[in-house]
Amino acid sequence: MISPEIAAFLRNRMGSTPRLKSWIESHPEIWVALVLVLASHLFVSTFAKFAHWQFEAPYVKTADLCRWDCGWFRSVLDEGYDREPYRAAKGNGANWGFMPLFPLSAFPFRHFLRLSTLLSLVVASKCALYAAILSFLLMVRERSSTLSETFFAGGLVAFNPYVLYAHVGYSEPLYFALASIAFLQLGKRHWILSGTAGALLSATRIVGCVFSLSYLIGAVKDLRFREISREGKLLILLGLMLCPLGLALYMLYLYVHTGDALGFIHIQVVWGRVPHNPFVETLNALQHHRWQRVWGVMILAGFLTVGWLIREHRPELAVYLAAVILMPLSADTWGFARYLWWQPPFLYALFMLLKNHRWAWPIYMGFAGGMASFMIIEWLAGSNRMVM
Amino acid sequence: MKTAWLLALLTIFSGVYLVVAYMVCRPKVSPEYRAYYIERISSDWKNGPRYAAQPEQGIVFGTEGLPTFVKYIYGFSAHQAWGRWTDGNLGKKAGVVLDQGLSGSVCLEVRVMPATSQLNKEITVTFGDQMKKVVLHSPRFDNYFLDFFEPNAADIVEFRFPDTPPPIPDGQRLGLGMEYLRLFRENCISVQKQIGAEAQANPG
Repeated sequence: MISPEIAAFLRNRMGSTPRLKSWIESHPEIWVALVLVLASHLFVSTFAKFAHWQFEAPYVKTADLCRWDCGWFRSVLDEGYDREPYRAAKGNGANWGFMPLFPLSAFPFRHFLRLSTLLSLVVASKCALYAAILSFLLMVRERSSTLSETFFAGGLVAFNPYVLYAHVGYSEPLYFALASIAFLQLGKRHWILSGTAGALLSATRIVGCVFSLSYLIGAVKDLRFREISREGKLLILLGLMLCPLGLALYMLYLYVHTGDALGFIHIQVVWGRVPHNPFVETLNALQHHRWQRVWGVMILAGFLTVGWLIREHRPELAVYLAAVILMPLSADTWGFARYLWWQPPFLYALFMLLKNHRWAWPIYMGFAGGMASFMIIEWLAGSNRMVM
Repeated sequence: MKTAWLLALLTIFSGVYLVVAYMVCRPKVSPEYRAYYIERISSDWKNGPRYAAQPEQGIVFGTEGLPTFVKYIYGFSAHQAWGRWTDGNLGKKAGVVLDQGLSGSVCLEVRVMPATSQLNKEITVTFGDQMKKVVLHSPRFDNYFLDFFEPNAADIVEFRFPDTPPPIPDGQRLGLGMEYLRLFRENCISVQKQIGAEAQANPG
């Protein structure tokens, strides 16, 4: 005999299965993102293994991928923020430039799952890649009409030329995921959600605070075309004030901890980053040979994308992209490529371009896959000249 | 009711941003930190190791680090085996900040060589509120003596250039090459007599 409670439970389960199935069918982004993140993981692990076989690259376990900036995040997670500079070869370095949200996202893996710090950071970045793909798919959902287009769009994130950074304990995928969510919610006029995502974004990377500008543009656009109640206007204002909150709280913390609220900017002097004219930097890059010129071409591609976004009436994306290109460029071109390739507006424009010119897909994927595999080999070869 | 909550939150956030703006304008940092990280007029953080020396023994710029009587220096490029250059990229001033101020009669002895761009130009040397003008005519290293009298303890020796020196191919803007700088708590006539007597006693 089955008790009435169990019978009711089984009836519910039986009934919910088709509901779940139909829900998954109507939200293919969820499983597409999962498939792509696993494929991306397999891709990076395979090429890392090739590098190990070929030239004894130091890749034995997943945590071995954690290098350079990941090491700085490790110091934040293990030791907290420095009280005064003492790191690096000259003793003038401090870990203040490495914003808190990404190491915080790795904390549960270390604390609850008892993973090593390095592995926690790598796993956190891989998990963030899933969020990055999913949020980007949701951002372009209205533009992708078929399952194959959804796969293509997700593939732009999962196999982008600089996808390596999603597997090595860097903050790029978390930043990308939060930026996509912020834009997605802004488009839906969910002001508080958009502002909250903006606040988290500004606590992930310094450039994240630029989202305030995009939010402002989105809000002004909405205010121009709709009659909004006083309460609605206050909500919009509250969302705007939320955008830089993550950075503001970090600055408060730094002031109490070190005495310098702008320590995360001032510490950049350690890496030789002093303000320059970004346009002069661009010209210099184009006049040089080899990688500098490649980066120069990427900078031009970034500016062209800004122009295209303006033409497409997406000023909130255009302004964001322009600002996040100009900010790192006003220091130098070092690491610029990864900043560009981990920007949702850039990949959004790329998706639209490739969607309208399908013949270009194989060419692009050939370039992206080749570049990504080359980056993995370079990374494990210990070269930080072009990767960092 | 909801409006009241929104207004309360907006007020709190405004308060947070005002506090942050105040903190940005008023950093609580040491002068060395300010010189190196904020004003970027110093090329070394903490200027390396410290060696024991008195003001009379001076700063030997060719030695790595600084003597214990110096807090920090600014406007100088990295040390080289012979000494240090002042670098216009770090500002139109170069200075030595003492750990403890000196008062009364002070003689500053400095062995310097001007860069070509600074030859025959008037350079201002200050110690506390006192100011002296020097024109360097020799293109080679030479010793210069400057007398100061400070009633209150002064702790900064500063070299001010009339303009920013032009850049050399490696990007540096060389002003003065300094071998050493010494501070004596007496006037320069006595100091020069002592040095002359020592030189006669040790002609080698």
